[in-house]
This record gives sequence, structure tokens and C-alpha cells, in this order.
Amino acid sequence: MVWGRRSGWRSWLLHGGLIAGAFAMIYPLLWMVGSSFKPDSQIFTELSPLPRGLDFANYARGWTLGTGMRFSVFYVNSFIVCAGAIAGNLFSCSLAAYAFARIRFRGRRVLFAVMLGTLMLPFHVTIVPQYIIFHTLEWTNTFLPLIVPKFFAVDAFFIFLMVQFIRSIPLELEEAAMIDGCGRFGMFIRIILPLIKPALVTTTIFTFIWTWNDFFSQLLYLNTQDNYTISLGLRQFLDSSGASAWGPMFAMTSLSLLPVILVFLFFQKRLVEGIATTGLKG
Amino acid sequence: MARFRRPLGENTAGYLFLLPWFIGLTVFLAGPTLVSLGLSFTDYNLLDVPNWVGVRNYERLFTQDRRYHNALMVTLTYVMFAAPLNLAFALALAMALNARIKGLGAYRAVYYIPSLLGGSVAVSILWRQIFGLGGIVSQILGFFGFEGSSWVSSPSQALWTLIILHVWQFGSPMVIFLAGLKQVPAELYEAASIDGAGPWRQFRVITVPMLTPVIFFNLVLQIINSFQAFTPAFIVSGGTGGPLDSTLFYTLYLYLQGFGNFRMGYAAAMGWILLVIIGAVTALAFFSSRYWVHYEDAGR
Amino acid sequence: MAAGNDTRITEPTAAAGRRGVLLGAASLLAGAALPFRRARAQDAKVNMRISWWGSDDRHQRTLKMIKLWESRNPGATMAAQYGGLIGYQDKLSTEFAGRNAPDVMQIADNRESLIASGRLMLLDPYIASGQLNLADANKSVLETVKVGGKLYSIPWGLAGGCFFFDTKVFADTGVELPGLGWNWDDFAAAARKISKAAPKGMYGSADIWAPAGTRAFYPFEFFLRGRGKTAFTEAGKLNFGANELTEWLSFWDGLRREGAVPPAEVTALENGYETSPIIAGRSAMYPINSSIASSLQGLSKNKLVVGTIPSGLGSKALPATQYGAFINTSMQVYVNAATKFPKQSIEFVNMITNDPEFAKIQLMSRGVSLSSKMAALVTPDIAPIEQSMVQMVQYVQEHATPLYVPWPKAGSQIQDLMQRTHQQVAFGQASVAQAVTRFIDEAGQIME
Repeated sequence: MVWGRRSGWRSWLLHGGLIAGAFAMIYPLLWMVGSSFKPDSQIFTELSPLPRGLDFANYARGWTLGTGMRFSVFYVNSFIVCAGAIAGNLFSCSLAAYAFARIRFRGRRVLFAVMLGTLMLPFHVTIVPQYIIFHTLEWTNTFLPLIVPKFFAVDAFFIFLMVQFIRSIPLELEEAAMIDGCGRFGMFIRIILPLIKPALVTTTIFTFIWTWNDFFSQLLYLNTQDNYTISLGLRQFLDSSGASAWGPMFAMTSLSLLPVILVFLFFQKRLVEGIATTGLKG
Repeated sequence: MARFRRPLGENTAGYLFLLPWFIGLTVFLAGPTLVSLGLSFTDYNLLDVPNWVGVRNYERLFTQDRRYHNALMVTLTYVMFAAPLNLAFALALAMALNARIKGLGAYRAVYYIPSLLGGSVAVSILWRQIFGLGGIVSQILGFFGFEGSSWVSSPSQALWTLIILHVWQFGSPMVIFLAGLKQVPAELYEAASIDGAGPWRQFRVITVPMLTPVIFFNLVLQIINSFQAFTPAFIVSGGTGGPLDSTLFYTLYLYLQGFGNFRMGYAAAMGWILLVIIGAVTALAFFSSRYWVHYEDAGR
Repeated sequence: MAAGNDTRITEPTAAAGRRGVLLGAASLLAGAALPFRRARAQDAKVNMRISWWGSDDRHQRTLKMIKLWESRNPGATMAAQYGGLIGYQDKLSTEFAGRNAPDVMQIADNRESLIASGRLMLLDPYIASGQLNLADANKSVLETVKVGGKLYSIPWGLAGGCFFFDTKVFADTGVELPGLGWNWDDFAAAARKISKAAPKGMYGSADIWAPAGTRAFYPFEFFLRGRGKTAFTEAGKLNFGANELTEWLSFWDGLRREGAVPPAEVTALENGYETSPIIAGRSAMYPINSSIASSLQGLSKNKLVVGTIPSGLGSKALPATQYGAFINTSMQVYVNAATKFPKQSIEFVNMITNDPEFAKIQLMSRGVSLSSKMAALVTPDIAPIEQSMVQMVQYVQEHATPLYVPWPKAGSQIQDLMQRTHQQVAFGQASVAQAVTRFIDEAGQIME
């Protein structure tokens, strides 16, 4: 759809609709950022998202957590885990996806079904055996359980995503390359990877965001504060059976969204610039 | 990597490309999966050596456990409404945000924000305020003469607030649609324009067919994910599935049995039944895909 | 940080991560080999792990206690594993399943199962040998934390079921604040009066059930104890019948119908105490565990006071012959039966209970000190809401009937069942009689 050249009123209508929708999308964020400037006694008793003033006390208190451990450590740890997971997923999932999408090896259909099947078992029932594996490897309280499996394509979601994208690329390009004497790996690197850039960008965005927000596996495998990530840091504040620090929690949650939004803005550009050209059918 | 240059047998090439995945499967996934299958025939309680109980867990689930039957119904309702509505919103917004308009990046980010807030405490509190007593929704309904009630705490309506929550978080499928739209070759549109096709015809004849692999992907993933939905009910109901089990999702009940009551054998049986259900529905989707999904590789 | 040995393991890995991420799989796999280089020579050293849940105030204070312990035990380290309550027990359960649980810990749920499978250390021998000194602890409180007559845990701070009062609503409606020795009739009268005098939407008290938490069962157990009955038998069966349950549910059903407590849809709005009726401005009284006192006060603009859960003494609606409430403290400290450092673990537990320096550090962050000496020592240093909490705890300790039988393994499932039973009645999905029949039926299935 090429919707760019439209008359004035239709463009206004689109913007009007998008802005109205945007408010419904962003209201919770406004409320949270507003709450991060309120003292605890106002957060749940005054429903307006607007604070009475800009008080950064919650930010100062939240950043150090009161325990001397700083959020900067958690940021660094989260970035390490995210970067590792992204590298792992891009590398391993694209290889597997290419095999499933383009190579006609024996057992392909069965293995593809197995691959999808790994998405279907609720993760709670495999937590304990998985924990025992990583504990046996002496990997608890390190980032390894969070990163190493990604280099072995355990996220079937991304394999399937890339399979779908590869399969919508016309075969002619590879056939031409084959005639030129290009091998399987060469075709993968030179033809397939550049053409599934949107899928690779999507993989990068999602891996970053999901790893950044992931709570349970990080909770399970990281024990000490110097290894904690953002999502664990954020859960330091709440205790439904005792004291909770709501203001600092909202302050740090708001801050933790910044990198995610920036990463999203940066990478989504790759989904805008120009329109894909295959060099075919022109 | 020179050895890849040689023409290889399809089998060898396929297995080489799959090698990392295969290692991951055997080392990290296969063991725990098979163990959980075995445990589903035991009374494993996380602490003691499991005793073999045969099919008793399955028998109980099928014949006795009323909460389980309820959880299954809750989940089916959720899947039937949340998944298609979410996809419809995602596709519509992806189309709108694929236009060349000002502030595109900002719009996309804003529409993605709900998905970022997914499991956060802020959402759990706000959802109770918006759909609670005197919240925005009951005020609007009151304005139109309906009696204002509290959706989130009503057993007949609480599930709908979670369906709305899921629809609201359409960001991820939207991004995948955007990526799919980006892959549609511009030449196709140009050629169609020259042939005098209007925007609607272009949408029907070019965009939809070219997008079917991505639509199919999103559909399958929505089915799998909404069957396994856990976080929304966990955070909005405080981990209880209340009021009166009206938001007791399948996986939430599984979690409560496994980790709350230490009945991990029972939970494993629930997990494997779910695997079979999701597998069957997904297989159906794959079967149907032959008739409507368009691949450039001619459906090999 | 008190990470000790663990710091060494992670630093190289983290560094490998920073490079490896960009270089790809190769350097990462090299990084993966690093943990195997753990120095075995270090094993003779005391390096313990401790785990608790809480919020930043409790984290700060506990970390200071650990520092103090480390300074008194040169060369020994205690790695701290802490966070909020969400996911706490899931992680701990997984660690127990993987035989990698901490040495000293708080346990949030299901301690009965852990004890039954022998995972928690029996403390009685250490009391006999004098390594653990409980001379200043209230004996009736110790009885109520025993399982099968044996002690596996020490209350890290005393707390119990209580009512919070919003003093402003009481003042505005002209109702007198209840005393510590009130009964259920006094409660009902106060709740009715407030509901009548206050603006629409404000109720006398929150209901006795809540969608989450442990509220629903304990008050009923208090009521049973007032009758001289425990909730469960020693053999782990229900020790009450349809009669008592009917009385209890009818009492609350009546208050609900009169409007003294809110209808089900208002009660179901609560999702943790921050969204409770007393904070949302919908009730003057709120029953919950006293451990949240200072945090609840922090969320409210009005002055709050801690009161007791009423008894049946002198009550016509729910008569009783004894004082039923007891200190049902949730924050207790346990020692892993598989610890390599039993001596040090016990020493730490003993310091929690008896050390004046520890007491000064922890104040009320987990409740009132078990030792009456330590409690008296810190009372001048604490906030008004905590002082009223101390009074409540002391009153209950002095009056509680010693009768106690611990919960069986299925106890927490019965508690959940109680919550659902209350909800069925409150939402009008079952009459009291139907709900009671269902309860007895389902409880039978759970406990078979």
C-alpha cells in the first residue's frame, strides 16, 4: 500500500485517529511516570496521574536501592545478557531457519514439527530438570544459563519467524547464484541474510525487549546482587507481606523503559527506510 | 568455510546448518521435556523421590478435577477472542503505520509501549483502577445509562478485562506485520499502479497474498501464546485466578498446583495435555495453510 | 557486597560476555569453561548463603546484620540472596529440588512439605546444648511454630493477625476506637455504626476474605481456638464440622447483607494491601497480618492504629470460652538440613534472637523481637504505628490459649479452599449451606 500522497483532510483524519489511540496506549505510562514523582501516601489515594511537583527523591532513593548496590550495575548486567542473547539468536536461528526453509534433507518435516513442539510445553514443568542441568554444570549465579542456550537456537519462535520470511523470497535468485557456482553457505550469507533483514531486525528488537523484561529465569539463576539485572532490581522494592517502596519502584521502572524505547526507535527505523527491492520482477 | 563451496548432498547440508539447533535440542530441551513426561506418571513433589502412579494424574484431571475443567473453559474462551482480536488490531495498525506520514517512529513507539509494560506492576494496578469501581469504564457506561459496575472484580466480566488487556498489547505482531510489509517488493505496487489498480485493489491483490506467510506466522504464535497465557492473569488477579476462578488460566492452575501445592507430577500431566491440545490446533492451522498461504517457493 | 567466592566466578564471565557478545559463539564458549576453574582449596573456608524476601528497608538492615556477623567471624562470608516476595518461594523450591538451597533462609510457603521430607534442620538439639538460647522468648509462641512437637524455626519477628483502624474515619463518625479486649459483637456494632454514619461507599470494615493472601483461614482458626478446638487434628484431618463453619460464614454473610462490610465486588478489587479498602477510602477497619504496619501507614494520609482480631469472649454472635488469637508469624528463620556450616548457621540464628546490636539494627523490620528483652530495648526507637503493633503483639502473647496443632501438608490448600468458599457466598453463587457442603466435600478430596 502506498498511502503517502493523500489529500489533506484524510491525512488529518489519520493523525487525529492515531493521536486519540495513542492516548489510550500511553496512559498507563503517564500514570507510572507521574507516580514516580509522588510520595507513597499520594500514589494510591490520588488517582490523577499528575504529581503536585517534580520531586526527584524517589529517583535518588531508588537508584542506590538503599543497599549500596546501584542500578548502574544492573544496567550493565542487563545489557550483557541482552547482547549475548541477541548475538546467539541471530547466529543460530538464522542457520536453522535456512535449513528448514530451503534445504530438502531427510526428516525435515518431522524435525520442523519437533521444533515447533518445543514452543508448546508450558515452561513451568521443565524448570526443575533444567535447573538441575545448569546446577550440575556449575552455571548458577552466572549469566551462562541465560546466554549459552541462545547460541543453540532454543528460541524456536525466531526460527519459525525467519523460516516464514525466507520462504517468501523468490527462488530465482538462488538458482541464478547456483549456476554461478555459489555454494549453500555462500547463498545463505550473500543472498538470504541481506533479504531477511526485516526479520533479523525484528529478532533483535524482540530478543532485547523480552530479555530485558524477563523475570523468572533471571531470578532463578542469578543469586547475588552484583549479578542482578534490571528486572530483578525492580522487584527489590515490593513485598506484599511487609514494607514496600512504591515511589522508588515506579521511578526505576520508568527509567528502565528508556533504553528499551531507544532501542525500539533505533531499530524500527530499519523497518521504514526505503522499500525492499529484490531486483526481480521489475 | 571453503568446504561449503563443494556441492553437497542436501542431507549433509541440511544437518550441518541444523547442527547448533540440534545440540541445543539434545542438551537443553530434550532432557527436561522427557523428564517432565515421565514425572507426569508420578506423584513428584519437588522434594522426595517420585513414586510411579500410572495414569492416575490424567484420570483425575479428566474425571474429577472441576477446577481443571473450569480452567480449560476459561482458556478456550480467552484464546477464541483474544487471539483474533489482537491480530486484527495489529494488522490494521501496521497498515496505518506503514504509510509515509510525519512522526512515524514516534507513533510506532507509542503503539508498542503497552507491550513493553506487559508484566509490570503498574499495569496490574491500573487495570484494576480502569475497570474497577468508579473507574473510567464504569463512568463511561454510567454516562450512557448503564449501571456502573466493577468489571475486574465481577466473576462474569473479569475475563473480558484480560481479553481487552491482551488486545491492547498488540505491539509484537504489529512489528512483525511491519517487517512483512517491508518485504513486499515495491516493483509490484508500481506495476499495479501503472495498470490502474486503486489502493484497495492493491491491498487485496498484492499486500494480502504477499503477507500471508507472516499472517500465518502470527496466527500460529497467537494460538500458542494465548493457550499458554500466564502473566496477565497472574498480575491482575494477584496470582489467584479470581474472582471465583473466573480468570484461572490453564497455565496459572498448572503453576499453582506445581509450585503452590508442590504437586509437580500432577502439573506435568497438565502440561502434556496442553501440549497435545496446542499441537492439534497448530496442526489444523498448518493443514489449512495449504489453501491460503502464499509462498514464493511454491509450497515445497 | 558480601558475595565472597561468587564474585570471582562472575567477574571473568561478565568480562567474557562483554567481548564475546560481539565476537560470537567462540569466545562465549571459552567463557563457559571459566566456572570450572573454581578453586577447590577454598572449600574449607566458611562461605554461606542466606536468603530472604522483603523491601529495601529490610534489605538494608539485614545486610548490615550480615556485615556485623562477618566482622565477628574473620574470613567467613555470607552471600545474600534477596528480593521481593514475587517468585521468592518458586526459586527456593527449585533450589531445594536441585539440592542447592541456601544455608539460612526465610520460607514463604509450604514449610510443612519441606519438614516432612527432612530438608530443614531440627533446632531442639542446639537449644539443649545452649548454642541457641530461647530463655527470653514467649513459650506459647514457640509452641505455635513447632511441628510435631519439634522446633524447626525461630520467629525472626513476631507478628499476627490484626485489625487496622483509620482513626480519622472513627473520629468523623463519632465511633469510639475499640480496645484490645473487644469481642465480635463490639466489632459488628462498630462496623454497622460507621457504615450508617459515613458517606455512601464507606463501610465499617473490610470483609474477612480477600482475593489473595492468607486472610481467610486464620481468623476462623482463631474463632475455633476460642471454642477450645484446633483447626486440624494431629493426624492431619479437619477438626471442625459443618456447624462451626456455618456459624462463621453466616456471621459474615449477615454483616454483608446489612452493609456493615462491603459487597463482594468491592472486596474483590483488593490485590494486595496497596489496593485495600482502607487505603482506597472504602473502609474504616481492615483485617490483615500486622507485618505490613509501617508500610500501610506510609500509604495512608490518615493516622492508623493496630488493634487485635476480636475474640468470642462475651460475644452473643460467636460465643467462646477462651482467647483464640495467637501469634501466627510469617517471617521465620530456618536452617537447611544439608548445610555444611551448621555451627555458623545456628550462631547467626542465635544472634538474630539475642544480640542487642542485631536488635538495634533490625528494629521492627520483621516484626517484634522474639526475645522480650530485645523488644523492650528497641521500643523507644520506633514509630507510633509500630508501638501500637508492639502493644497488640504483647496483648495476644499474654492472652492466647496454649492449644495448638500445626497445619498438615495440605494446610495451604485448605486455606485457598476457604477463600473460594467465602467468595461463593459473597458473590451469591451458593447459599451458606451449599458452600459448607462443598467445602467439606472438597476438603475431603484434598486431604485423602
